Amino acid sequence: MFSWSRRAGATLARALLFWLAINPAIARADQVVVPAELQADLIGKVAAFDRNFSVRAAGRALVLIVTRAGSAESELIAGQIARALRQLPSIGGLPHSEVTLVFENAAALAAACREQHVAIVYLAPELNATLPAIAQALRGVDVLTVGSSPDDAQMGTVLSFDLRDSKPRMIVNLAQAKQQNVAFRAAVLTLMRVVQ
Amino acid sequence: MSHKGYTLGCRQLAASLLLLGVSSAALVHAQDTDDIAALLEQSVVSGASKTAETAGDAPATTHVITSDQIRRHGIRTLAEAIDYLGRGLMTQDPLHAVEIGGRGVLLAGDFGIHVLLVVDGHALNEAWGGASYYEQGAGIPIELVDHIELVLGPGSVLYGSSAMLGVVHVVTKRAKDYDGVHAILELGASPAQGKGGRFSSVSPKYLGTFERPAIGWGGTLRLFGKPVELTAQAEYYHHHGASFEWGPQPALNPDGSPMSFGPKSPPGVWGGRTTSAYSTDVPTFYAKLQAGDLSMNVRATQYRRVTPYSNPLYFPDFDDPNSFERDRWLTLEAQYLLTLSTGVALTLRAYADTYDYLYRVPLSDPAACTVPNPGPCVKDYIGKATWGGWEPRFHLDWFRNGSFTTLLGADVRVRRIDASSEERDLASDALLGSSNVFGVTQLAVGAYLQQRWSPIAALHFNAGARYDYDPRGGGALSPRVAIVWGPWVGGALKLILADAFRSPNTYESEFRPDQNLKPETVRSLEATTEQQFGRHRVAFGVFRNWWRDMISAQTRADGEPFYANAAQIKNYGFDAVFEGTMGDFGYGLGATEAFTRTQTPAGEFPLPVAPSLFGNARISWDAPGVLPTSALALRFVGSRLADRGLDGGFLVTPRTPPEVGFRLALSDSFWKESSWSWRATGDFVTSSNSPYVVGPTQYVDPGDPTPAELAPVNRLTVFVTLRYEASPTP
Repeated sequence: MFSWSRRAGATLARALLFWLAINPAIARADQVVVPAELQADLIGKVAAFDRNFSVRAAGRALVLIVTRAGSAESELIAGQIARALRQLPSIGGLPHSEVTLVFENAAALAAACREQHVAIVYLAPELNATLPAIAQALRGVDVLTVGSSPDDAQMGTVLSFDLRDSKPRMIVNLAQAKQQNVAFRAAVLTLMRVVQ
Repeated sequence: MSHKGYTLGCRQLAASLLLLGVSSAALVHAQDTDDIAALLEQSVVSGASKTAETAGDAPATTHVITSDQIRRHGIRTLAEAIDYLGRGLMTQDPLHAVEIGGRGVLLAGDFGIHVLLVVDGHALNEAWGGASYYEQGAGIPIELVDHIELVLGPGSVLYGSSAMLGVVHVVTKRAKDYDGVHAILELGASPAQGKGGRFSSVSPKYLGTFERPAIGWGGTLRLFGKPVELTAQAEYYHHHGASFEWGPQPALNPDGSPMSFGPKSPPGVWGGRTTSAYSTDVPTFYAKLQAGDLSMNVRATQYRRVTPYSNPLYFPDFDDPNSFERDRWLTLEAQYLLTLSTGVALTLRAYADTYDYLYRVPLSDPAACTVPNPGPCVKDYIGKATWGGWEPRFHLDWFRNGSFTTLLGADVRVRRIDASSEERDLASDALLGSSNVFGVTQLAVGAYLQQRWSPIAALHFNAGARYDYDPRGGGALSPRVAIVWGPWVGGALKLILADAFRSPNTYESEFRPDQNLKPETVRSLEATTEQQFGRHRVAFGVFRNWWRDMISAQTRADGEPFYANAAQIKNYGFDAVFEGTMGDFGYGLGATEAFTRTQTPAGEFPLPVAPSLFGNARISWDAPGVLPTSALALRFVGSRLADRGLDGGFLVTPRTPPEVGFRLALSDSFWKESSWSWRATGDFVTSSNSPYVVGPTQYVDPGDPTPAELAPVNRLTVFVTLRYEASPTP
């Protein structure tokens, strides 16, 4: 009995370790922690503090919401943020519209931003592996990128959201902001945590 | 007017307009920044609906206490956090397990069974007696706490039994917020007290002391190349004293002979100075692991305490350190979020707990022993519970945009309960007899459904119900309906109707086989309003509660005790809070007032021990330069009737006067950007007694002028906290 229990325990432990090793969900580090409605409210307010936003938007702010193909969570958060943004009367004081795009590659995303004069790109979850490439491709493109997960700004979006002490925090990547012609006013930078 | 004067006037006008324009623009930006600041001050909670949402949108009145507040005010326990920083709930320390109550209801001696304590989603109320603790015995390292959500009002709709007064939901830090190594040493002292709360000595012999060394770590590891966040802390809390003076109270056995309270008190007399019988030992380990969508936590703790006075049921030897209570827990939990498709997710939660309780009472007086014995004996009261459960939870987002979502879950729990009373010979430890031996394995199940609907951003409907079946008391249905409306920016109006219940615990349900106890229930109707403006928040709420089938000990005509659903409680009141920050200053003010009456077959009475008025106020200042961060907090509690105030028969009804507690905390790092920091804290209470009658004189005969003696309050504590934090990242 004892040996059976030992063998069973060892088998169970091996199965658990195998599951940990192969399960892609265990590797995910880009969990959304700030509710979509609160993210949308913050985006709507913060955009007004980007000195170049109104010029970039040219009268109407186009928000491109980017999802990862085949990712249910990415699509779900995209749907939630799209609805929350649509309910805002304005973004940065301007009328706005939202378009959802399934991510193909960074170059295509950069091209879409240029062609459609996108003012804000919102990157839904499960794109974190591609964030460095997106950041590289968007250098020189006039656009505000917003990540849904806390580490996104560290990985190359201009802005991302975190939660600490139960309260939302904004994280800004100033180096990337400069590359994408985003210039936040000092007043709002004091409310953000700066990385890079 | 000259031409020159006219020109000057135009210039002045132009300059003024320009200045006005610049000022207006600046004002607009300042106001906009205030809007952003207001958004950043909104707390994100999950306790009320098991879904992340802002506290303003939650379907319950939810108050959040942050780790920053905890740290700057030198908070050591959940009880202190609730008293100095909370809303709607309060605690009292009878020098025994801290008691928790709120909104005018505190049921003395209930061991916290009317509040559900949840840590990282895991309910800590044990399965034998339903107890939860809020002092150090809670076994939650305070440095690990990210925030505490006080979810006020009935919460059984998602949590099941015990969430009657509310849910205290503790969320611990993620590894990124507790990065690196943390070493903490806390040392404190309290002077000895004499009668009337006077300070009598600071001699080391009588000085109360406590110490808490702790070591914690947070960081990200790589497991199979994947990131795994780990947060853990181990600590040991020990306190001894302070010394108090008691009695003297005369005490006789039923045959008229003098009762014996051991070698430290003369025959027939209870009282003297306690120097040994007030101590606590709490070793604790808590760890949390997060790997993507998988989270696990483990908690192991032991709470051993020696109380300096006998409780109404047992009379141990006076000042005997060998008479103690001990609770031990081991809790394990794993939770995994599985996204099945867009809009459909499944949370699988499994948990296992084991707990045991021991109350050891050495009795020098053989007459006090149940089993005839020529010498002194020891009584052991033992309770054990082991339980495990499985809770699958479906999250359905029907339109894939968060506007119409359903939460559907079930909780299946198996538990094994054992209890017994043993009596042993004190000298030989030989077993003299056992009684009340009890053991049972039970299955308790619950199923719940919650529907959220947000037709527009400013309007949220939340309706749900949970049905529980427990062999202890049968079935209970707990519905909740809430409407949350944000009619303007930063404002929220809530209307909430909710029910909750508590199944009888093992002690109550198994006391006699013929009791047929039902669950206690509460129905609450409340309306609240909240307004956030910039970094300031004001909230006000009114509530009306109906408590039914409250379980209490009764005595039959033949003198036999039993438990029955004998009482109702009705109460109504309001609570309010005003808090915020202004630059380097933080402040807060909160108050709750309630009118409460308990209805029994004997009539309608005020509820003993429960205060009708309580609250707190606080201010803190992050001083610039070399000055330390300063934080002053106070808590106040109105006058309270003592626990024997209704049934003790005392000529002068025992009650305590209003009480104010002050806490001053100063903290800083030892030098700029140092890993070492310090905090010095002082705690002072104005009153000298808590509303608990102590000693063998619990009841007196009609006309007997003997007054009640109330438990003393530890009035002054000073302590310092030294902390070393070595974070690998700045």
